[in-house]
Amino acid sequence: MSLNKVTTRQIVMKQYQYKLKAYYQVFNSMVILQVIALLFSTGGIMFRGGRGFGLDISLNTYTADMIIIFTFLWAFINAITITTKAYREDDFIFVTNRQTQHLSNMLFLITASVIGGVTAVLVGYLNDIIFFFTTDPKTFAGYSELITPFDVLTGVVATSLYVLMFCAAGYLVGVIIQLNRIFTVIIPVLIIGFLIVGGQTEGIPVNVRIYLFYVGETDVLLFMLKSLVTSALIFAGSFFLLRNKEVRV
Amino acid sequence: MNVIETTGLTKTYRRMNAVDDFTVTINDNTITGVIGRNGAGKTTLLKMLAGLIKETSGDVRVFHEHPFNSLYASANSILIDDQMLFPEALTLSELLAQGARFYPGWDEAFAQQLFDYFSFEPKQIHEHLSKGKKSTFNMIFGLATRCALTIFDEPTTGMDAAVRKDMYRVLLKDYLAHPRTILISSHHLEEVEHILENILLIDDGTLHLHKSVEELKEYAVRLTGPTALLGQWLYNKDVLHKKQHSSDMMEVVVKRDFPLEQAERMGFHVTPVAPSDVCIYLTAKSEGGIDDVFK
Amino acid sequence: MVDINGSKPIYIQIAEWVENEILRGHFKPNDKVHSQYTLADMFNINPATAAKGLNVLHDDRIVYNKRGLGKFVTDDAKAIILEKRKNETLKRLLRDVVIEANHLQIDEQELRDMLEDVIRDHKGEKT
Repeated sequence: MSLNKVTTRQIVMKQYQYKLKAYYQVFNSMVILQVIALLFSTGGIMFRGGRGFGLDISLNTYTADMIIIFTFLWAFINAITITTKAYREDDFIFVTNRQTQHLSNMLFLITASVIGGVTAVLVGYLNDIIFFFTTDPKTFAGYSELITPFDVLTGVVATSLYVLMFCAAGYLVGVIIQLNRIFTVIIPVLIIGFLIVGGQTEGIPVNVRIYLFYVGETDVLLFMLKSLVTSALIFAGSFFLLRNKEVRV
Repeated sequence: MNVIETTGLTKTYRRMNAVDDFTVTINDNTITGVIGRNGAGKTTLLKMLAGLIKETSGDVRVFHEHPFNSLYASANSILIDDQMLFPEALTLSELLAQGARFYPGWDEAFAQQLFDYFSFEPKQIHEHLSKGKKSTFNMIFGLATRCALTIFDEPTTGMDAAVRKDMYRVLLKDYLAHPRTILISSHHLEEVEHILENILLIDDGTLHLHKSVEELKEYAVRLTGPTALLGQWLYNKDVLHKKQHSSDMMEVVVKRDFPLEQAERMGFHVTPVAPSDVCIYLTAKSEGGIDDVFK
Repeated sequence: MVDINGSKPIYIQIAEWVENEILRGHFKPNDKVHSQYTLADMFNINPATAAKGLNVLHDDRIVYNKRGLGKFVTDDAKAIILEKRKNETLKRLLRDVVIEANHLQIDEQELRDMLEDVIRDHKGEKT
């Protein structure tokens, strides 16, 4: 009989590499979603028309919002998926404990967020390029902003961090559902109820406050700090909830 | 060295004790059969040992560590059962490759040879295999890990008789070459008893007995003789099982705590009782059997 | 071969198999007998069971231990085995015969005649 010592670090890395290989379908679904979003976007998502002074005016705003939103949705669902029974049990066929399982899940979601963020931004620019070649230049009013490499970089970082927050949120939701099935009903009700009713503090609805807390943050570094701390807290909470979860019961 | 030590180990599901105040010690380099009727608590016990589920009370130690959330225990033990799910995105050969990455003692050549012998295809997906094939793959995987504690819970489900025989032969040969601690639970004790050293008999979640197979073989004897004579002779004997052959002939299984010559001299027909039968009689709910239902 | 489901414990069958090999001269005095692992592999049994069989031989002084090397046949192994078979196996067989004869209500003289017949037949077969 020979006994082998392993370290948490070793196993987390092995689990992480295993997950990149085993969960690759996640990226297929991402590509599909982003392509669908691109198709929706190329038509222009906002249309304003008007008449006056003998002129017909129509104004189309082209944005990549759809692509970003779809990517968030993908991140959220994808994170829920990896908390499900089948995925958790798979880990226990190999060497793991609940700690290495969560750490490797987190690493995987961070990777997925970066990939999601980069592709979303790039597909967004692709959207612009398609628009550029398919629209009559005479009616082209110009970009709303100038693109510099720094813009691209901040765009990627910010998008990735948003995607990461959605991953973290999805992971937490998934974990809570794993604790009790009844949350599959309760959580959507809470979220929808919250969006409709909201709570109010000092006259401003809480959901608006949350929105302003992140989206309203103009300082890039401060935003990075806010989103990273938020994700870390949510991941820590998820780990705490699932630290004693049994498998193959 | 003690590989497994439990003291007062208890697991409760909905106020029912699946495993109840279970105290046992298992040494290294032994093959132990975990035997019991359906629902006796075998699987629950094995899952606690593998660190998959957590005890309600009592203590469990595997390599002197608490297996639930111990990375050390996880790296040195594995539980193979028929409900194992492998990631669907990986092919069989990729699964073996992952096994090699995770388990430090993994024997690649051994895994590959058996993989070919049982004619698996590298590109097959575990989920698409037949039940028997799944079990065969799982067993190969479990043996290839060379884990110091390898646990098989009903490993031969769905296998045909020839494959079962082959797999137990493989298990024995691999154990001879690489001694380690192996637990096997099975409904078919007669199929595995030859390769076992010890037997752990579980009944209603409690430990009924923990003996060597050889001891169990001499645990009881079957006596056949005239009902009147045998019935009288039995008055201070520990009877495990009784069966009336005809109105004047009776068969009994008694604990063997007397010289056999005594019974032979009385003219009773004395035959040995197979360990699997001893286990059935010891865990039977009454002295009689299914025949009593029809009386 | 070893009969897994036979009435005799497997370790006794293992011991008897080794004894037979010694009687046939396959193992000579001071030869190394098979290890528990070889026996386990040959007979498809747990090595602990094989070891128990070897221990029986050791207790009967049919084999001796060389530390770290294994078990070896003693000088008078053959004589011990023959004596043992005489005392145990043969007596036991005879006792079974007597018990069975009782069942069948065969008297002593008839039993003796039968035995003499068998001996005579056996001699006839040999010559």
